[in-house]
Amino acid sequence: MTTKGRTTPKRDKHPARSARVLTTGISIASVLGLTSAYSLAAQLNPPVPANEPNASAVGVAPSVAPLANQPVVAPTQPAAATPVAVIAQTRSVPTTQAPAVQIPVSAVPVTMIVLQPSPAATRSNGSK
Amino acid sequence: MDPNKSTRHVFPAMGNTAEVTVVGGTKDSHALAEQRLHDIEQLWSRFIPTSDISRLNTSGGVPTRVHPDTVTLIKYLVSAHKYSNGYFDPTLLPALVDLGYATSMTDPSMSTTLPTHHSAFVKALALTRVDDAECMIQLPVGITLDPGGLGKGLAADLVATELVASGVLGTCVNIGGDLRCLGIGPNEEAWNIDIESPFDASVIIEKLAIHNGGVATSSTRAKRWHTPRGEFHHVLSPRTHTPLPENSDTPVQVSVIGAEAVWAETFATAILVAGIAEGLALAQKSHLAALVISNNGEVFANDHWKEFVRC
Repeated sequence: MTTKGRTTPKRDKHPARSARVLTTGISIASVLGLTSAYSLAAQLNPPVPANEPNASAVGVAPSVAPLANQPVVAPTQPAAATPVAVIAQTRSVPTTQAPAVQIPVSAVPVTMIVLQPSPAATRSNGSK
Repeated sequence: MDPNKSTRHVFPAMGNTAEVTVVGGTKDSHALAEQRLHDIEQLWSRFIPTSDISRLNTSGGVPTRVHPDTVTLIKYLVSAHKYSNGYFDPTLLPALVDLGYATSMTDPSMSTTLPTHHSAFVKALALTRVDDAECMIQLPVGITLDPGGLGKGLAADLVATELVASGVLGTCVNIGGDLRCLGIGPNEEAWNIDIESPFDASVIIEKLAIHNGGVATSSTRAKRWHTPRGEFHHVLSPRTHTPLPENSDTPVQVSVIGAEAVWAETFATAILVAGIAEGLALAQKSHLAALVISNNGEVFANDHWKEFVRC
C-alpha cells in the first residue's frame, strides 16, 4: 500500500499484495449477446401488471410459481484496466504522448456539439 | 473517420450531467448516446413509477417481465454484493427513503415508489431469480433494489460499447463522474482523466491516463440533504442502515479504476463503506486501482493506482 500526499502517522495497515495486472476488455461475445437480447426484447409481450403486495415475510410469494432456480451471475467480474505503459510497450512503433491540455468543461445547450481543438481532460468526481 | 476529430456533447441524464466525447464520430453518434441514456433512465430510475425498477420493487414477489438491460442490471446488483464481500448492499432503499431521500434532487416532483410492506434484508437477495429467455425477474417478497450504486457505471459501459460498435474510433462516456473510456482517445492518445478534490472542486488532486477502462468516484460530500433530524448523506452502512460516520480517519472520497465502469462504481462505494485499510485491500485483491481520501485530507492509494497516473 502506498501513501502519497501528506505525511501520516505510522499505523498498522493491512499489507497490500502485488497483483498481476490483467489485460481485459469487453469481449465481442458479450457485446453480441447484449445486442441479440435487445433485438429480441422488441418482440416481447408488454409487462405483466404486478399483483397486490403480499405479507411482509421475506421470501418467494407463496401463491406464485417461482421462476427456475439458476445462479444469478453478472456477465463480467471485477478486473483491472490496462495501464498506458503496457499498451505503449506492445506497440511496434513507440508514440510520443502529447502533453495534456486541461480545458474547463462548461455546460452547453443540448442541441450543440462542441469541437475541441485540443484533448481536454474528463473529470471524475463524487457529484452523484 | 478522422482520428483527430473529437467532439463532446454535454446534457442532463440519470439525475446528473452526462458528458460524451467521441473520436471519429458524427452528430448521430451523440444523438445515439443521449437517446440510450434517456431510455436507460426510463428503465432504471426509482423516481419513475413505470420504470422496470419501480415495477420490480412493487411486484410483491411476482415474476415480472423487464427489458434485457434491466436483467443485466439485476445480475450486476446481485453479484456486486458478493464480490464486494457485502460492503455493496443494493437493498437499502427503504432506509434511504426513511432518512429523507425520497424525491429526486434534480426534479423534486419525482419520488420513489415503495411497496406497502418492505424490508432491507440483504440476505434475501440470494433468492432473486432470473429467466434470461423470457426476460423475467422475480424478487423475494419485501425486497426492493436501488440501482443507484452502480447504474451510472453500467450505463456508461453499455453506451460506450454501443458507440464503438456503431463505428466510432473511441469514446469516453461520463455520467456524473462515473465514466468509461473505450477505443482511441483524441489525437490517438490515451484518455486524460482528472480527479477532483472532495474539498474544492477547482482543485485537481490526480491526473490519470486511461486507454480502455472505467473510472468512478464516490464521495460522502455529494448528495446531502437536511431534515429535522439533521443533515444526512447518501452512502449508508449495510450494518446500521444509517449514513457512514464522518470521522477524521474515515474515507470522504474514493476513486477506482477498473476494466469497466460498473465495477469501478461498485467498489468506489464498497471501499467507502469498508474503510481505508480494508477497502484498499479489497481493491488490491479484486485487481482494481483505488485512491482513498480521508476526512482529514490524507491520501492513500494501492499499488495498482500509480500505473495510471500521468505526469
